[in-house]
Formats: sequence, C-alpha cells, structure tokens
Amino acid sequence: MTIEPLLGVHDLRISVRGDEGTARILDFVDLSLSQGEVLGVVGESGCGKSTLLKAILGLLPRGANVESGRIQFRERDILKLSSAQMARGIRGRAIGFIPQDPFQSFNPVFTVGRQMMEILRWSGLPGEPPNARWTRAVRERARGRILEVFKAVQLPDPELALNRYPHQFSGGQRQRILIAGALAARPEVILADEPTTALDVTTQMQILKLLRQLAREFEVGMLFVSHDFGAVAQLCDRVSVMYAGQTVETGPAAELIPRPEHPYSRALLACHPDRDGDLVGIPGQVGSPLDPPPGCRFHPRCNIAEASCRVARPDYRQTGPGRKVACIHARAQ
Amino acid sequence: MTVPLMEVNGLSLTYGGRRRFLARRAPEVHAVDNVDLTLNEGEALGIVGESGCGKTTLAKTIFGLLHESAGSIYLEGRAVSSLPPKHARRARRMIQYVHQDPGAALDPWWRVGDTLHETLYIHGVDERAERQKRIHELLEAVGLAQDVVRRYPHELSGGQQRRIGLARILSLRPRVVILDEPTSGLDLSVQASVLSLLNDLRAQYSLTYIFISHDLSVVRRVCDRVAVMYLGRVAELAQVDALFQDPRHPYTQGLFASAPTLEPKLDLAVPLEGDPPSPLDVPSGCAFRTRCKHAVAACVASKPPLVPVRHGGVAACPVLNAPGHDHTS
Amino acid sequence: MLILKKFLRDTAAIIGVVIVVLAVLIALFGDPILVDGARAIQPNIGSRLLPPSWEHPFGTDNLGRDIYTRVVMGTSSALTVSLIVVLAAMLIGIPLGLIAGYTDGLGSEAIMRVTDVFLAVPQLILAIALAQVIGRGMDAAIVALALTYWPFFTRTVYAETRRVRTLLFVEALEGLGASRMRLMAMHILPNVAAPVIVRATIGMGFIILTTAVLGFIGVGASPPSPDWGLAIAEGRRFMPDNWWMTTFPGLAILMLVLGFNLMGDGLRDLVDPRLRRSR
Repeated sequence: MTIEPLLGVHDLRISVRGDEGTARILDFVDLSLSQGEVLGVVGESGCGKSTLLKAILGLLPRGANVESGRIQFRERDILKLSSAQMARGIRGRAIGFIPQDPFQSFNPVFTVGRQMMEILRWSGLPGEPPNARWTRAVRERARGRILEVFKAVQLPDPELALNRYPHQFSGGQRQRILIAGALAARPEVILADEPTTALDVTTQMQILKLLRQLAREFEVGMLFVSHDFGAVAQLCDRVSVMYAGQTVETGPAAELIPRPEHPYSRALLACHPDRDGDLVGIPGQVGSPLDPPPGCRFHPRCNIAEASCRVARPDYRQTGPGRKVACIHARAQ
Repeated sequence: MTVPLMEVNGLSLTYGGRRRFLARRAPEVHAVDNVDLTLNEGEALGIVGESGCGKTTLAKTIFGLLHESAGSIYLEGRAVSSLPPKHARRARRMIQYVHQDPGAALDPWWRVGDTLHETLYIHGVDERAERQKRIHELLEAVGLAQDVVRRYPHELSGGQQRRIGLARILSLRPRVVILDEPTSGLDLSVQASVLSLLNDLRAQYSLTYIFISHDLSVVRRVCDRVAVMYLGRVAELAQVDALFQDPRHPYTQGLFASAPTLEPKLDLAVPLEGDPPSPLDVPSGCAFRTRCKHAVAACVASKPPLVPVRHGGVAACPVLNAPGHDHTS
Repeated sequence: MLILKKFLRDTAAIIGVVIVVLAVLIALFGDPILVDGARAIQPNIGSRLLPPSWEHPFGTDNLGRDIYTRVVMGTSSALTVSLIVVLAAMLIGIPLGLIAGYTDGLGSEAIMRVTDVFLAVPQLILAIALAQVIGRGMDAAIVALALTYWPFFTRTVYAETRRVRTLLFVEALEGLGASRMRLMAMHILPNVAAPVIVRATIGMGFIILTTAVLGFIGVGASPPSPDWGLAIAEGRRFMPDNWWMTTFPGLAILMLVLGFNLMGDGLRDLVDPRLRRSR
C-alpha cells in the first residue's frame, strides 16, 4: 500500500542567469515527502539546497529559469504557479517555513505578538481564507491560535511573550517562536532551513526533540535541510543526499547513515569525526555551477569513476525498500 | 619534570563595575572567572563550552588582545601578565591567534599575497626576497597553489581562507597557536581536510594548540586534554578519552548527552532544560545549580573548587565526586 | 571587468558620466573649438538683448555678448572651483576623520567638537564675512567653501572608521602588531573610501551650486567674468522679457549638478570590494 506523498519533487532542473554567466544550480533533484515524516536533505555548500527551498516556496529570483521538472503538491504542479498565486494560500499557509537564523529573522522594533499576528493576517487563520477581513472576532481567534502554538512549542509564559520584543528572548526561544510562526496556519508541509545551525548544542537538542514531536503530533511532513549529519541523524526518518545540484542518494536514516551506498555519501560520512579512520577529506573541489562537470557531477572526485560517468548522469535506481542511488555501481533491485 | 610551556593561574577578566564619567555604572560581568590551566609542549588542549561560557574571552586574554583583571600567566616560566597592553603582546609573541571567521580576518581590499607580505614586514622581515621564500614554503605547507597570492579574500572558499589564515600566523613562527573555532562554518569534507592539515602542521612545526570549539565530535578526535567551561569557570578538565567516557560534572554530562552524534539518541537523551543563565546574572555558589538535578544546599552557598576525580582529571562538583560516593549518572 | 559590466547596466549613472565628461571636455577645449573665448567679455552694444537665434543660440545679454559663448566659458571656472574646494576639503577632512574615528579620548573628542562648530557656520554668511576681509574675489569664495565643507567629510569618515574599526581584520592586524599609522592609512582608509568617493562626487555638484549662489549675491566672481551665478544675477533685471539671460546659465548649472549626482549615485553601488577580481 503506497501512501500518496504530500510533496513530490521530480527531475527538477533550474538555472540562474547572473553577472558572470548562467549557473546550472540544480541538475536533477528528486524527492518525496509523506505526512508525519521528517525528511533530511543533506549537502555541502553549493549543492543547491537553498535554491530547492526557494523553488518549493515559489521564491526563485529573477533570472531563474526552470528547465525541467515539476513540484507536485496537492495534485498540482506548484512550479507552474506565479509567486502571487503561491502567496495566496500556499506559501506560509499550506507550506510553512522555518528560517535559519533566529537572531536575524525578526523585526527588532515590533513585539513578537504583533509579528505573529501579521503572519496570520496574510496567511489566514485556519478555517479562514487568506487576507480575510480583520474583524475583532477574527483577531481574537488569531490571538487564541497564537497562544495555542506558543504552548505547543513550549515557550514559557506565552501570554507575557506576546508583548515582548525579540531581543528579550534567547536564541532557543526565538527559534521556538519561528517554529510557532510556521505552525500557526496549520500547514501540511513545513520546510526547515537549517534551524539549529546558529544554536548551542544543548539548545539544539531541545529544538530537534521539539521538531520531531511536532511533526508526529500535527501530522505534517517536514523537510529538514542541513549540512550537519549529526542533527539529521537525530531527527530525520529519511535522508536525501545532494551533491552539486544532483540528488545522489535517498534512504531511511537508520540505514543510509551507517551504510551509505553512493561514493559521495560514503566519502562524506567518512569525514565525520565520529567515524573511525583517518580524517582526510575528499580530494578536489565542488567546482562552479557556471561550468559543472558533465554527467555525474561527482565523477572528477570519485575513486571508482568510469568513462560512462562522464557521459550521462547515472539513473536514479531503487536498490532496496525506500532506497535509491544515482550511481552506475549501485545494484538495482 | 619539565616545566609546562604555559601556566595560567587564577585568571579573571571582569567587564563593567567601574564608575565612568557621566556614564551609568555598567553591571559586572565575570567573563572569565578564576581559571587555572596548564599547557604542555606539543599537546592540543581543547576548550569547549557554549555561548557565553567565556572560551573566546579566555583565549583573547591569554593572547594579549584583552587585558586580564586578575591572575597570572607564565610562558616557559617567565611571567608575562600584569603588563601594559603593548608590552603584553610583545612578551607573548610566541602565541598566535587564528580567528574564527578567516575571511573576515583579511582586509577585503588587499590581495592575500600582499597581506602575507605585510605580516612578515610588520615583523621585521625587510627583504622582499626573504619574504617571498617564506611565503612560498608556507603556501606549500598549507596545501595552497602558489597563484593564490593574486586573489582577493572573497574569491576564496572557506577552506582556502582558513589555510591563508594559518599560513599567515605560521609565518611568524609561533610556538603556541590558539585556534578559535577552526572548523565552524566549514563543510564536513573541508573540515576533515583542515583538521588533517592542523595535525600535520603540529608535527611539522612543533606547535602546541589551544583548540576552542563547540563541536564535541571534533574535539574528541583532535585534542589530548579538554577543559569544559561554563559561565566563565572551568567545570571539568581531563584527558580526552577519560573525559568522554566518564564525565564527572553534571554540565559535562548534559553537554555530551546533547551532542548530535551519528547515533540517534533523541528518545534516550534527557537534554538540559532551559537556557543558560545570562552572564549578567550568574547564580550564587555553583553557576550550574539552577539546571542541575543533583544540586544540594552546599551548591548555593559557595563556589565549588576543582577537585580531583576518578578519571584522573578535575571537576568542580564535590557532590558527584564525594570520596567513596560513586554516583553512576 | 565585472565592475564595468555592472556600471554599464545603470542607465542613470551612464547619463551622469556622459554629462560630466562632456562638461570637462567643454571646459578644456571649448575655446577655441566651440567658441571664440574673447567674445565672452567683449561688449557689442549693437547686438544687445537679442533673443535666441541661429547666430546666437542662447541669445545675447544686455551688453550684447553672446550668451552661448559665456556659458561655455563659464564651465571651466565652475569645474575648477569645485574641484579645488572638494580636494581641499578632503585633504583636511579625511585625516581628521580617521584620527577621530580610530583613537579614543580627548583628541578624538576635540576634533569632533571642532567639526561641530564648523558645521554650524552657514556657508554663505562665512563667505560674505570673508569677502570683507580678503576681498570679493574668487579666493574668498574658495576659502569659505573649503572651510565649511571639510566637516562633512570628517563626519562621514569618522562614522565609517568607527564601524570598520570593529571588523575582524583590524583586530587581526592589531594582534599582529601593526602600527596605528599603518592601520589607518593602509587598511582603514580604503575601506572607508566608498562613502567618501560618493560624497566627493555629489559634493562637486553641491559646490558648483553654492558657488553660483555666491556669485549671485556678489561674492566670488565679478564682472566681466562669465561665471554662471553672476550671469543669473545680472539677468535678473531683465526678467521676464529677456528670459534667456538667466535661463541658459541656470540650465547649465542644473545639468552639471544633475550629472554629478547621477554619477555619484552610480558609484555608490560600485565601491564594494567584493566586485574586485584578480583576473
């Protein structure tokens, strides 16, 4: 029995025209997210994680060109919607977003309650159309909803918090508020952009635990973008590894992390200090999206590369239940 | 018994508290509070802790960028503390500091080659040919191509910027190198190569490291001894394996339990609740008592001293380490 | 080059540059290529107050002189004066701003208070006062303007220096033992140059305007100089019937000031070190 995924990204290819030429930022991205699960998207800088998030949110910059692929959400290809259409009911509402830096993501001159109200105002209270008439009754309900989500994220003293300014909260508390903001409009999908990177280790652990709890409790599908394999190992059910704009491997976290199959995933995990063996890094460099290597973009740095790797991107094949790998050496099932 | 390379006794740095003309009296912050450390030649001493724990302030004070409020520092047996700022740096010139954000430590209007030349020039290497030679060697040592000298900092990747930062301080032939978060912001693969480089350089140039980091996995791999700091004080100090296998301070235990390792532990770990108290409002007695489940009355009354513990190091928690009282927690 | 490419996409900036370059060319080569300079000051009573025509594109003034010639000839003095003033103001203002910004204590405070005093002095009044002392010529105008313009540079440089001082690379250099002079001149200065360059460019336009105002009130240029401000003053009496006497010099001022402003705005976007490339 297959559960229809909430969100599906299929064969996505995006390029961006800039001052220095056309950058082929995403060359093949393929992933799917189901209700109630947390999918980790891992990759190093230049892998295209931010562009992927922007594509899903309909926030691609001017000069971005979708060369192929689709993003399926609620039976539509949301890639085809304009930014304005996305703003009406999808972005911030059906698809929520938790930004990266709790220290920079707030307007310092407004109280936190006011900023939350604004969010609910344009994304719409659950049960109301977006940009509904802001009557007193609606405002009361919004306030109630905000308190509800503040409690859900375990923010201390939610009533008092409404009237406080961002700087009066710690980094961890601010991150909780950002999470609350993403939850307020009752989204089906939440995109989390490295939400724990700027936090201390102990706070990070609290937030990861919270995120997992919320994903289960509210039955949302969560996409957790990170470069930190440790955080991903703690939080995510499934993991998708990206390299230079290409999805190279996906699988359950409990299997992929101890036994990666793609040469890049292997090399990358071998670099983690928790793993035994010498720390050596991966020879070579990622290279520029302005002039990417042909075929499998990892081949110049891969120790088992063959001639065919240069010619065409390897098929993204199933190698086990829930496991897919884009490498000619992967044994297909 | 050899004299340790560096000895720090009772080092403190306090901000505020003084009356200033026309200004309101700023509250006192004990950024570094009575820290004792020794550094042995050739070792890598790790200093870990979360934000506000004072590790960077401690490092900058040892380096001489900040002036200590109390305490003493000895380098190879010579006293180098209680000196006016300019002399402090000169007396401690065998210590060099690699900043956390290596790109920001480079002037964006200068090519990196010129920056390297300048560093040597400031230190008295007048002859251009001599500087050229040293730079050539250093770039090789840090694994960069020679043509990198023409680049501007923003044209380099994070890893390359780090290597330039290392080349820069190595050109000064230091004995002690303070590395402030040398792997933060780096991709995992780049991190691995930087750590590998740091190991090679330590051997090649006979360096001693003070390694500041919040990444416990990295510290476990790279350091010989580790000090854990909390709100300006040393909570625990021990050999690395001993510390990680058997932490004897409740904070250290909580910290290690929270670290995101590759083994999932969300269901098992009881993370430390709440947020660390503000450095402006440090609890009396033991600074950690407000978050500690072993706290007793004595913890409120007085600051716990560092006592020797069963793993061979020291910890500032008499409760967990009372003699004959082997808490397994 | 990346910088050039970016600049070329800013239409307004290009217009600004074109205007300024044209003005410079006119100032340098206007006489003898475009006009015969001598005619600018030769009265020709027979042709007074003629409206614009083919022979006299901007008409003639009350002494019969061709206004087109006079406007062209006035360009060089406008540019020269503002260049001298801005350069002098920079030479005084920038070092003071650097020192005040980088050091703390009495010296820094003293410099900034002196700056405040000079900022409080209205330019025109100072110019008039100076005219009493040194005479009404251009010298008075130049000195007065320079003395009242340097504080703007000092303030800008002071604020930027305070900001740059906190940047990590300055701390790194201090840790390495770089001297204060070296830091200020070779490291902080290039990094504060951005707003200074922009202010200097826009300042040129501002000074041209102010010089014209001074000329209008009778300080600075004196007849028969073809100074634009003076020309406007002389033409006042003949408004509105002989509108061309004031209008064309006025338009010249407008165009040149606009040119400098547009150029300055365009530069603002360019002085970002991250646009520099090693190839």
